Amino acid sequence: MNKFFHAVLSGWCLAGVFVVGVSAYIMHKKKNREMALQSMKVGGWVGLAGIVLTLAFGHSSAVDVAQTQPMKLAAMEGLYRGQQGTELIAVGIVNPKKTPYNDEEGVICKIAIPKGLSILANMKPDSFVPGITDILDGVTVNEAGDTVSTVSYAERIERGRQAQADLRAYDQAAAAGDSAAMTAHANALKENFEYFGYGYLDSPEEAIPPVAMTFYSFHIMVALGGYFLVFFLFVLFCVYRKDAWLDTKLWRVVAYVSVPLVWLCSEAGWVTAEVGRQPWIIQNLMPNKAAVSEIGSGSVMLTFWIFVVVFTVFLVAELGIMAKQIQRGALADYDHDTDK
Amino acid sequence: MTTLECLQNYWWLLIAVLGALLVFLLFVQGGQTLLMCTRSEVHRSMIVNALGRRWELGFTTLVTFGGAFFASFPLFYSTSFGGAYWLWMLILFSFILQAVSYEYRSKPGNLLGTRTYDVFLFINGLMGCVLLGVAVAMFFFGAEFDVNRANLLDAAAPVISTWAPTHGLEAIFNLRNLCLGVAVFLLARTLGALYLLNSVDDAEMTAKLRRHVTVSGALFVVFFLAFMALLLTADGYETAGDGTVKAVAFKYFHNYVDMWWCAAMLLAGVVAVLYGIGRTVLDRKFTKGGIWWAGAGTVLVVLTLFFVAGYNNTAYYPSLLDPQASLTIRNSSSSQFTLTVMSCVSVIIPFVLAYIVYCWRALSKPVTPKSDFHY
Repeated sequence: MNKFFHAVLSGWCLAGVFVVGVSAYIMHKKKNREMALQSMKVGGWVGLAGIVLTLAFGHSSAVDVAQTQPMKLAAMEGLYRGQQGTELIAVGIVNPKKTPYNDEEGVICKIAIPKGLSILANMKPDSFVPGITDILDGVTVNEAGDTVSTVSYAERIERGRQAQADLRAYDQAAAAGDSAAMTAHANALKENFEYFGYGYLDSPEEAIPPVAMTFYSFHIMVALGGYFLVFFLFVLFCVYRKDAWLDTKLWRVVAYVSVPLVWLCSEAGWVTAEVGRQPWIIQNLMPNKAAVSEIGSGSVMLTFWIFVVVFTVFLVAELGIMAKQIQRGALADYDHDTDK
Repeated sequence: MTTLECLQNYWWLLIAVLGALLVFLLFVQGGQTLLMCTRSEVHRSMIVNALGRRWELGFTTLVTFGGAFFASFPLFYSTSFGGAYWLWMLILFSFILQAVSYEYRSKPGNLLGTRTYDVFLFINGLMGCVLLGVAVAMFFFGAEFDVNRANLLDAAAPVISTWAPTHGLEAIFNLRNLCLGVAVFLLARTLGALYLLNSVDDAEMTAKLRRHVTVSGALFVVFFLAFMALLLTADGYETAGDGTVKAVAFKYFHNYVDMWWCAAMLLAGVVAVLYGIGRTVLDRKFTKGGIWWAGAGTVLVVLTLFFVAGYNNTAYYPSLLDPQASLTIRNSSSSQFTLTVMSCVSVIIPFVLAYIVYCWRALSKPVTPKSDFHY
């Protein structure tokens, strides 16, 4: 639910930035100052509401992730070994030399907020947030925010394989019509079912999502989200003061650049969500590689390229239509022509 | 009947209702193919603007139909969509063309020009109808797939459903499937012309549309009768109490006899469609009611087709490779828990339908050559 509202309300923010960007362009043409200010007010308020709510629901979904997908949260932060009061990284570079069990730093050249991640994940500054290596080793945190030992990934793989063996034995018993054996294997299966999907993995490391991609997309999203909060506050402040700043070239550049940035922010959010969840299509039960159809890779690539061509053509058409409409808006004289 | 079986029957009923409404709403696609039958820009704009206020209904019904199938009978979804891949992809691409064409066709700066978008609408109208008909024909005439649940545990190739290597293209080049595909297309075109007769106010177009109803309607009757003949003489698969499948000659004929109310609905539906077409052709003063008679009849007929495909212990997706792998509403459904939750959600359906009726009535002003064209 948090994820749903996070994604949907981010659309308000995106729409707000777009409206402010177009309004800045219309003002640039010197006419239509009143009209542009009015539309910036609308865009500014919708965008501000959008970004504030998006940040709030984003925080709640980070809490959800901490509880249900701790591996994803660890990858988002490039965190390998957690501690009591784990820091939240603001900027940093993912260390390509890092593996779960060597002594390299996970993230280098970093600026971090002390205890930030512990607060984000558990609302407690001194709580423990497990890193990637901790999780592989079977150390994690429970809903109350306390450190607990859980099942290590090596053991999860073993138990997943056991669950799959029990299912196989159940099928054989069913084929033989042996109902006593079926009941026995069904009960055995239930014991290890929560780790069923791990049985497909070849090694614990396979359960780690691509760290660099998850880390960077998450941080780009958060940084831009913070930027847009400031952006909308600034827009509304200037609009209500009818500030001359809105006539400067620098402002226009900021407004124009913000439009592609807000799309980048949205996309980064999707990448965080979908790359960070790897390798699972159903968390703990089914990895992607067990969810494939028998369509050949050639067919999949062909389909991909058809999509690329079709959607690129339509994107260009859409941009053409938008550009024409914006141009028309810029050339019209809204402030003096009461018909419009 | 167990609770699970009740839920399975209920969800097959919902699938049938969505499928029947979808075939009726294909009048939008059928109407789009009429775009290539006139050179007049004004007439084309009238056609697009009369259809434009309805196209989203058909599109969302198609998506809902697919979504409901996915949620209630997931084994069908994974078998068919992963198997008859190219068939479904072609359907998908034809509907992508439709979605943008309405919105872009008359806007300045649209890159490709109005004419190109009208060709896209024609392609969607032709391909969408024929291919959806082919996809549904596989419910009766079978498809080349196999299902082996134990494969889930084969780490090297964990694929439950396998399909012929042509991945759906073979279904398109099957004459029995094509017969239904062409029948659906001609029906959609007839309904499209009937809908436009109801919605446009222009003497010249009315005369043209009446001719389209005559020609497409007559051809439709020929292909529909051919399909019914193929269907009623076809073998079908029936499941015994233990779930094993056996072939039964004249299975669908038997189903209509066993479920006499289906036969009655079929008859009523056929009469309504013929009345809608026939009176429009013969009675010059009759322009508004044809779509409603033919539309209601279409819904009734398609409902019975889904009923005889899935009820009465019939396999609704017969496998031509291994009859025992055929899908039935018993062996391909979601769990009882999932179906129960979805059934609770399904109480909102009447509200959705009421909203659709409200929108339909709100946007019903006749389109004339002087209308303010939105699309």
